[in-house]
Amino acid sequence: MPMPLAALNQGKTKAHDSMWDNHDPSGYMSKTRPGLDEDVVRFISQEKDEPDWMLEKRLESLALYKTASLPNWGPDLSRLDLNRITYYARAVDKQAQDWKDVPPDIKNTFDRLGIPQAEQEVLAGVGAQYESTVIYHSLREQFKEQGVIFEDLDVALKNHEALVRKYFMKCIPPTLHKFAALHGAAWSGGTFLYIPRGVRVDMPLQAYFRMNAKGMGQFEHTLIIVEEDAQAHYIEGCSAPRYGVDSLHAGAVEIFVAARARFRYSSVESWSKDAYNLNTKRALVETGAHMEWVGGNFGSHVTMLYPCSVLKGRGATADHLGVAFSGAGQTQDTGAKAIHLAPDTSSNIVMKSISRDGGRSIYRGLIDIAPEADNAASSVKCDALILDEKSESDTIPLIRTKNQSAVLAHEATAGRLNEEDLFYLQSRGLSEAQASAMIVNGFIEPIVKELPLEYAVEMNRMVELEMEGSVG
Amino acid sequence: MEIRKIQPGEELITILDGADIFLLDEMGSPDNPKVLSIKVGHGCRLRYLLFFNPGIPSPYEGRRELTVGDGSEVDTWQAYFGAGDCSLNIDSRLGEKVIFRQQAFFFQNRDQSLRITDNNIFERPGSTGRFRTDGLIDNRARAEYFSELAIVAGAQETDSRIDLKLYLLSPEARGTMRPGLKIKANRVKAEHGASTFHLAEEDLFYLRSRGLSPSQAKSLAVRSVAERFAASVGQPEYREMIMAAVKLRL
Repeated sequence: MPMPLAALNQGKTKAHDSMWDNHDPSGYMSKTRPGLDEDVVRFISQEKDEPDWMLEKRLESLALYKTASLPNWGPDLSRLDLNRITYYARAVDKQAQDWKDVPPDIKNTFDRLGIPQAEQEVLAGVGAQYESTVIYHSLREQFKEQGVIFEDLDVALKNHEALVRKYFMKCIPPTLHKFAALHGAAWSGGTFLYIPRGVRVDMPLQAYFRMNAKGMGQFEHTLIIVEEDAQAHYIEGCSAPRYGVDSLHAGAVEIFVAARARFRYSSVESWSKDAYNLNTKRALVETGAHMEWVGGNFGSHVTMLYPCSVLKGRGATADHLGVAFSGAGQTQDTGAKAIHLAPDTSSNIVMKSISRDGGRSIYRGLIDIAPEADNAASSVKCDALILDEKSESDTIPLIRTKNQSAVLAHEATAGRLNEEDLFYLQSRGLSEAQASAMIVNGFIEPIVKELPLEYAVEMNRMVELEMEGSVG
Repeated sequence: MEIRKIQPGEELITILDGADIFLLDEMGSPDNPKVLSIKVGHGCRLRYLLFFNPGIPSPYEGRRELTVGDGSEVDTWQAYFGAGDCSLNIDSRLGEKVIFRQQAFFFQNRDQSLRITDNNIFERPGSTGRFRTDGLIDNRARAEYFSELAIVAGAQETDSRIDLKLYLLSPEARGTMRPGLKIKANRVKAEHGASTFHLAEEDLFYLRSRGLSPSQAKSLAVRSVAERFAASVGQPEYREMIMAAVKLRL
C-alpha cells in the first residue's frame, strides 16, 4: 500500500510506525462484547439482514469450530485467548462511495495509508474495510459497464445472492480446519469480485483491511470469480495498531479461476506485532488457466499462512512468490501448497524469508501429485537469510507423488549475508546498515518486481525500516 | 582398520577415541537389536553400513542413535531392502569439526512399505555433512523418507546439504519426501534438494530400439542407481551383498 509522498517526507520511521501506533477512538465497541457464541453469530446475521441459508451456514460452522482442535504443529497458539477477542464491531452505519462521506477520523487513517491517492492514480477500484464492515467501495465506470462486479461481500450477498451462494465457502469449506470454521461463523465484510467472460481489467483492484480497536478480530471474506478467458489483478493490504493485547485476523480468500483465465492476487500484510494472523487462501484453477500469488508478510506476532492452488484442469498452472520478514518476537510460518489433480499441470514456488533480532521464519509447503496428474511439473525454491545468532529459520517441505511421470524439483538454502558483498558496498561508502538493506532488497527482488511499482517501492521501504538496527 | 559386525543383544557400541573401524549392522537378521546406540569417540574414522535385510520380518520398527565425537570422520551407507512394512528412526548427533557423509539407497517393489525418519543434528561448530538418498519404487510399493538437518544455536560454521532423489517406476508406486531444515545459527551453510525422476519416453524408446523389453530397461535403471551406491562402499563383499539383494528383488 503506497504512502503519500508528504508522509514519506516526514521521515520513514514515522510514516511506517504510524500504521502501528496510531489508532482512532473506538466508542462503537460499547455496542459489542468479546467472545463467540450462538447469540453473537445470530446478531451478526441479523445486523446484515442475511438470508436464512447464510445463518444456517454460520451456525454449522460454529458447531464445527467448537469441536475442532488447535493444530498440533506450527507456532504456539496456546496463549491466544479466543474468548477475549471481539468478533464483530461496526464503526459506521453505512458504506460510502465518496471519501467525503467517510467519517473524518477513519478517512484520515486511510489517507495516511495512501489509499485515496492510489485510487485516483493507479487503481480500477477500491474497497476499504474498518473493523468488521466495509466503509468505502468504488469501481471505475468503464469496468462496471463491462459487467465487472467489485463490491463489499455483504452487499453482494444481497445484490447477487445466487452467484454468491454458488461459490461461497466451496473452495475453503469450514471443515478444513478450526480457523476456517471460526471464519465461517464470524465472517464479515470483505470483497466480492466477479470478472465476466473475456473481460480484461488492466488496472489493479485493491482492498485494504484495517483493524482499529483493542482486542479486535477481523474475518473478512474475499470471494473472487474469474470467468473463462478473463484477466485481472487484485491487491489486498492490511494493518492494525499495536496495543499489547492480542488481536486476531482469520480471513479467507477463495478464488475460482475458470478455463484459460489469468488472475494475480497480491497482498502485503502488515499487522501489528501483537496480532495473530491465521488467514486461509485457496484457488481452484481450471483447464489452461493461470493463477499467481504474490505476497509480502511483515508484522504480526504469529502468522500461519499457506496459499494453496488446486490445479483441477488439464494444463492449469500456478506461480507462488512470497517474502516473509520476521523480527523480534515474531514467527512467520508461511509457505505454499500446490495440489496437482490433472495432467500437464505445473507449479512454480519461490519463497524468500529474512529473520533478524530473534525472529523465526518457517517455510511450510506441500506439493501433492495425484495419480491422474500425468506429466505434472513442479519447482520450489526457498531461500532464507538469518541475520544474527538469535534468529531462526526452518524449512519443512512435503512432497507427495503418486504419478511416475511427474517431474518435481525442490531446493532450499539458509545462511547469512555474504561478507564479501558487505565489504564491497561499505568500501563504496555505504554504512553497514545501508549495505545490509541493499543486499536484502536484492535478495527479495524476484518477488518485489512482480508488484505494481508503487507497492514495490513501499515493500522495499518496509524492508529498509525493518532492517534498521539489524546490524550484527 | 577393524571390521566389526553388530552382535546379538548389543544395545550400545562405544568406539574409542582414534579408532578406525568398519561396522556392519544387518537389521532384521536374527538377534540383531531393533534399538541400538553407537557412540563414536573423538578423532575416529568410522565406516558404518546399515543393511536392511530382505528377509526382515514384517512389520518391523527399528531405531538407531549415532553420536559422533569431535574431529571424527564418518561415512555411512544405508541400504533398505526390507519386506512388508518397515520403519526406521535414525538420529545422528554430530560434535565439533566432524566430517559426516551419508548415502542411502532403497529399492521397494511389490507390496513393501518403507518409512525412514532421519534426523541429523549439528550440535557443535565447524562440522560438514553431506546426505544423499536415492530411492526407487516399483509396482505397488510405498516409501516415505523424512530427512532433517538441524543446526542448534552455537553450531556456527556448519556446512551441510541433503539431496533426495526418488524414482517412481510404475503408475501405482507412491513416494513421499520431506527434506527439512531447522536452523538456529546464522554463520552456516544449510541446503537441501529433492527431486523425482522417471524413465523418460525417449530413454525407453532408445533402449527398446536396442532390443530391451520395458522390464529389462527398468532393471537396467535400477542396477545403474544401485551400482553407483554400492561402488562407494569400500568392502567388496558388502558391495556384492547389496547387489545380490537388488538382483533378488528384481
